[in-house]
This record gives sequence, C-alpha cells and structure tokens, in this order.
Amino acid sequence: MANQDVIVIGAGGGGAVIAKELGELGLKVLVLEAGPWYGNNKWPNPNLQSGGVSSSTTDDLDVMLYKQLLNKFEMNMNDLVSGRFRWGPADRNRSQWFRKANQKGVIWQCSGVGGTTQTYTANCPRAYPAAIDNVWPVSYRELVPYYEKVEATLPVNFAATTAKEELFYYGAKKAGWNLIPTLDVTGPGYRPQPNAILPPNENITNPNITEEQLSWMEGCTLAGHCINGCPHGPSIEKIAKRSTNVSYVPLALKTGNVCIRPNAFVIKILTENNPSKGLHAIGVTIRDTWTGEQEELRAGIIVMASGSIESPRLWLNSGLPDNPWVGRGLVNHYMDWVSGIFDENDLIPILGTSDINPFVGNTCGARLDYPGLGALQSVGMSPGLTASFYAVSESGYSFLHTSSMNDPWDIKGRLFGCELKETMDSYRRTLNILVSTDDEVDQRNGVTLDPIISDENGFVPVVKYQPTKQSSRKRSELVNMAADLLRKAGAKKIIWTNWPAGMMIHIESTMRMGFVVDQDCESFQVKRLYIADNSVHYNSLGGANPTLTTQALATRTAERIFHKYFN
Amino acid sequence: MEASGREGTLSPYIISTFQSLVHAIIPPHLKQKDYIGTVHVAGAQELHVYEYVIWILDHSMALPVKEQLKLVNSSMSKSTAELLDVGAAQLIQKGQTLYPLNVTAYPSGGPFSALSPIDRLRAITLIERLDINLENLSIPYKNNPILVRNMMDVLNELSMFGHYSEWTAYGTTRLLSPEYRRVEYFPPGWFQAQYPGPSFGYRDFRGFLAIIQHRKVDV
Repeated sequence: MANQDVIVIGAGGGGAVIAKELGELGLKVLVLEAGPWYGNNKWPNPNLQSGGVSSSTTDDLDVMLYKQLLNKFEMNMNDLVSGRFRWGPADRNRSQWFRKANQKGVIWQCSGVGGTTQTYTANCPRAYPAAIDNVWPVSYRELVPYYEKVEATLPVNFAATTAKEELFYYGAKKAGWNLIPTLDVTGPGYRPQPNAILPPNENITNPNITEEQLSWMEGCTLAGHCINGCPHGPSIEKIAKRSTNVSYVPLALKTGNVCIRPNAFVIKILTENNPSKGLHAIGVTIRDTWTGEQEELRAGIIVMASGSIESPRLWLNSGLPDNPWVGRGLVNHYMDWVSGIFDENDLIPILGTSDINPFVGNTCGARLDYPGLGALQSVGMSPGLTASFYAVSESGYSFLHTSSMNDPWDIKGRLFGCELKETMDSYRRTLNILVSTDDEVDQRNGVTLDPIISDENGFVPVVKYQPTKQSSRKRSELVNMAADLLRKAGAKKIIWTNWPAGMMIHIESTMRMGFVVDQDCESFQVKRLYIADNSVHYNSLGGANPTLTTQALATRTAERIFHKYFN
Repeated sequence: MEASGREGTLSPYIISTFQSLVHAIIPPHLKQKDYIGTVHVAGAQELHVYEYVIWILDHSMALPVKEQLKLVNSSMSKSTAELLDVGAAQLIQKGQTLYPLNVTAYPSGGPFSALSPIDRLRAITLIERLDINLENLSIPYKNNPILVRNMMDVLNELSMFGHYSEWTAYGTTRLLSPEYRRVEYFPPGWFQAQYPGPSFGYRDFRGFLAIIQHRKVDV
C-alpha cells in the first residue's frame, strides 16, 4: 500500500481495533507489526523464513496453519525467551528483544499480529466507574457506547462455569460477598468474568460428538489453553478466544482498506515543523526484522499502538519534544498470587468431583471486584506455568517464614524442594487467585531509555515500578480477602507467594491522557500523532483488566481522527 | 540467539553447578501409591532440567547487547555459576552452613555444588539479600544489585518451568533450536502433576451464572 492515509504501529489489542474502525470509515490504513503473523498463508513458516511482505485480504487466512502453529504446548508457546509468544523477532533462532527491569519480576508481552492478546486470558471487564468519573478527562458515560460496541464486536460474554469457577463462587458466597451480575461495577461482589471467549458449543456435553469434532465447531471447548494460544474453531475468524488476530484483524481486512505488514519494527517517528501545521508527524522509519533493511513510509496520520513500553520508547528514540510525563506514571496492578490446596473429600460435596482440574475451562473464569481496592480472579493454567508462578517472590524461600495463628496463610514465599513437589502433586486440587490492585500513578515509575545499551531498534527501555504506600495497603487487603475466600471454600492449605513489584502483565499509563495526549488521544506536542494502547490510560482503571478500555478508546479515537482530519 | 544446537563449550564446572542448583530446587522423592507401594519420583537433575536453565541463560541476549555488556568472552551461565559460588563462599565463611561440605557429589563443581541442598538455597538467600561483595562479581553482575536479585527468582522460575512443562520430553531434540524440537514421549513433569496434556476440549460444562444481553450499538 503506497498511499495510506494512516499508519498504525502495532497490530495488538489496540492497533487492530483502530485499523478496523478507520478502514470501515473508508480510510486507507497500513498496520506495521514488529513480530510474526501466525495463520496467514503468506507466512507458512513464520519462525523460519521471512515469507511475504504484507497481507490485505482474508483469503490469506489459513486455519489449518493456525492450528498447526498454536500446538498448545506450554514451553513451545509461552517460553519468554524462545517461545512463539515472546517479545522478539519472528526468527526463533535469534534472541528476544532486550529490556532492562529495575526490579524483580517478569515483563509478559508478545510481538506478532494480535500482540499480547495472542496469549491473554481474554478478560474484558469495564473500568470501575468510580475510577473514571471526575478523575479522567472523559466520563464513564462517554465510554459506555464504545464499551458496548467492542463487547458486541468481539463479542464479550460472561464465562461458562466449570469446577474452578463453581468453587470460587462457593467460597465468595461463604465469605459473605454478593453476586453482582453486571458490567458496570459500583460496589463489591463476585461475578463471572466478562471474557472475549465464545460460549461453549451446544454440543459440548453431547457424547456423540468427539472432542476433536468439537474443536472444529464454533464455541469454546473448555480446553483451557487460553494462555497457550487457543486454536479451536472452524475458521480463523471463528476461533473461540477472541485475540485481535482472529477478531478485529479479519474485520479490518474485510473493509478492503487495511493492509498489515508483519516483521516491520518501527524505529523512528518522522516529523515536520511548519507555520501552518506546527510540529506534526509525517511518517515512520521501519526496520525489516529479517533483512535489517530500513525504509521510510509516509502517511497523514500516525497512530502508536505498540504498548506501554514501546510507545514511550519510540517517542524518546525519535527525539520528539520533552514532556515530563512521557514514559512516566506506569501502573501494573501490583499483582500477587494466592493459592489454595483442597482435600478431595472436601471437594466432592461442593463440586461432585474429587478434583478441581484447573486446566479445564476459561483460564480466568470468575472474579471478585472491589472498587477502591481492586479485583481477585480465579486462574487455572498448565503445570509448567503454574509451578513457575510459585517461584517469584519478594520474600525469598518459604523456609524463611513461619506462619502464626493470626496469619491467613500457611506458607509464605517461594516454594522449593519436597514442598514444591507436594504442591504440584496437588495440582489438580489447587485453586489459584490472581490479585489485581487498584494501584496509584506515581511519576517516579515508568519507562526511560538506557543511556548506553542499544539494540538494532534503538536504545533499550528501562522499566521501573515501585508501589506507593497506598497501593501496598490495598494489595494487603486483597491478599487477605483471597485467603479468606479460599479458606471459606474449604482450602486446607493457603500459599501466599508474595510476588515482587515488577510483575508486568497489565502495563498502563505511561503516555497518560491529559498529560501526553489530549482526550481524543492525539499528542499535545506532535499533531497528527495519536496513541491507541494501554499507555493512554489516566490510571489503573481501579484494578480492572485494561484491554477492553483500550479497545473502547481506540474505537472512539478512530472516530475523532476521521472527524478532525478527513471529514 | 544466533548459536543453536548443542554447544560443546560448556565446562564440567558450569554443568555441575546447575545440576546441583536444580537438584536443590526440585529433588527426587519417594511417593506412596495405592496398590503399588513406594515409587521414585524423578527430580529436576535426572530430567536434565539444568540443560534448559543453561540454554536459556546463554540464549537470552543477542550478541550486540552482550558486547555492550562486555560479555563476549564469557557467558551468562558461567557468570551465574560464579555468582552462586560467591554466595556459597560467603555462607561458608560466615560459618552458617547447616551440614558438612561434600566435594564428591559434584567433583567438577565449586563451593556451591559442595553445599548440602538446603545450604545451596540458603546461599541463594544470602545472594538475594545482597549479603555479598558486589564489587567482586563477574560481568554482568558486578555492582548490579537489581540483576543479582532478579536472577535468583529467574533461576527458580526456569527450573520449575523446565521441570513441569513439556521440555523434559523433547528428549534427543531438547537442545536444538525451538523450531526443530519434537516431543518424543509424555512429559514426566506433566505425569507427576497428573496433567493430561494438550486437549481438544472437556465436558465439564456447568451452565452460566449470568448472561450478557448485547445491545444493538450504533456509535
């Protein structure tokens, strides 16, 4: 595509959405994605060969190829260094892209068409109204129609119940919480997770249909591979988990106005400054991740949708104007991990089965929301990922801590040795809870450039996060709530891993609305430069998962771009 | 990661150090099974998980970054093994070992490998508390407390992910570049956790607690 109106940088959670919306408005859109494209027959060996250049039609989408590549093996898919879902180039013979973390933890992001939504658990709660109203430059009411549009498009549905959700609900009810079957959460309570996952096929319990046949039908098969990469469905656009590569990308291609080019890392935003337009974006410089060749591409509007680390990194590496909030204010929901181990005799009366089987159903299918504090979510993953989550702790090994009568936990810290093996022996009788805190924006946290170390894409980002006292207090309360829920559900043993501050799974607010971009998500200092990713969030949404809000804002931003520059 | 496949440059010292590391984190144990009696459950060393830990450490950074970190004549696995030895030496010097040293278990290893399994974890604790002289460490750990602390989590995380994922079943292909690995048998770690492996689906559908009614939207 030579004469694009808009260039979108990144085909992930936000970029795919804004591309589809702009394409539907009749604009020519070129999407540049740094990573590979899985399930497109122009790239039959996406991790071994450079393949084609770009794709602009759904005719190229190939569900057989998609199912072959997303093989559901956790190491092959999820290894952060060499897995198919990693932050790195398509060529798996090469290393991941280097980032520097200023604290203990993990940065969990993916390159590739679909971005991190390829591996996300598809949780789509709206922000809590109290975290938006009279705080953000836009009101919750203004966001609602855009939430509704994204929820209908993906679509978003409350998760089906399997054993682990049933146990979570049982514990929540016993702990005194009420069911709140709503999308607009104004008070505490538990509810099914609003997920971008298709409901199970009507034949899910039909013994005459095999599981393999089910996996070719429309609907979630409860296979539990949300994080490993869901390949189940009759076609790419009907895959059960609605990562953007199977939802918004096919819709974008169907407009006939969108072209997507993978393996293209944007290393610079190009600008011009003249009296009539002021400083404004005019294009980008890309680097082909296979050949290393650089190329300049131009468009009337540039949209950064490269995520909360790469968007500020790109701004800074491009030498765009100083702004004390570029890269600053990072929040990550200061997460924590609490697990309950159950006896089979206690499970049978509640579930009718002796196991929870955490690998069955939506990976995160139930939640408890508490506006003002944050949220708890049930999580069930494959065993390698489960075990590795027990390894990351701010308090070191568990042998350093002894539980007292008043502690809600039995074990605190990193598991090891026979204790770890006993815990993994109980894998099928374990319910894990992810704590997601309503953490505070602090300008000292964020993304800067390393002054010395660079890679082929420019100076590498340094990511810093320390929770505020208020955030720490909130997380402690949530941990106690999680332990109480598990205990009330009948857990015999509670493990509090005490995650460190740097667990970067929900990264937001590094290019905040009102500071770096205006309420239409256009940069204050560089006109015609927009942002459509988590970085524009004013805050951490109260602790709600960020993707849906980014997608709602991207939908709104597309409308604003069209009206301001093309109408 | 540039280099792929088996690398002949790993010294017995590095191998011994990482063998002793994964052995301390995930040891073998005996388990009582109904009708069968006592069975041996393999630990991470028997399942070659140390090879995964070494592979990841040595393939996690591209050469240009390694050059800037002045890591071209060494490797992350070697520097990390030396870091573990600094922690072990500190534990020994402080007289804080719980059990006598044993230099026969890993004859090619350093002080870390000579410690008892629990003392190895206590040496790691000293390192993550930064109770060592950071000035004396090898590149890239020298005067880099953030990386030192982070690596102690990473070593545990890699050991656990390697042991309980399908990596142990890549068998003869386990050290090949990821695109050329093939699962040769059912992963022992999955068997230990009683995980059935990749699935097409399950039947445990228990209905819905609530339903979303989508409105026709016209934004």
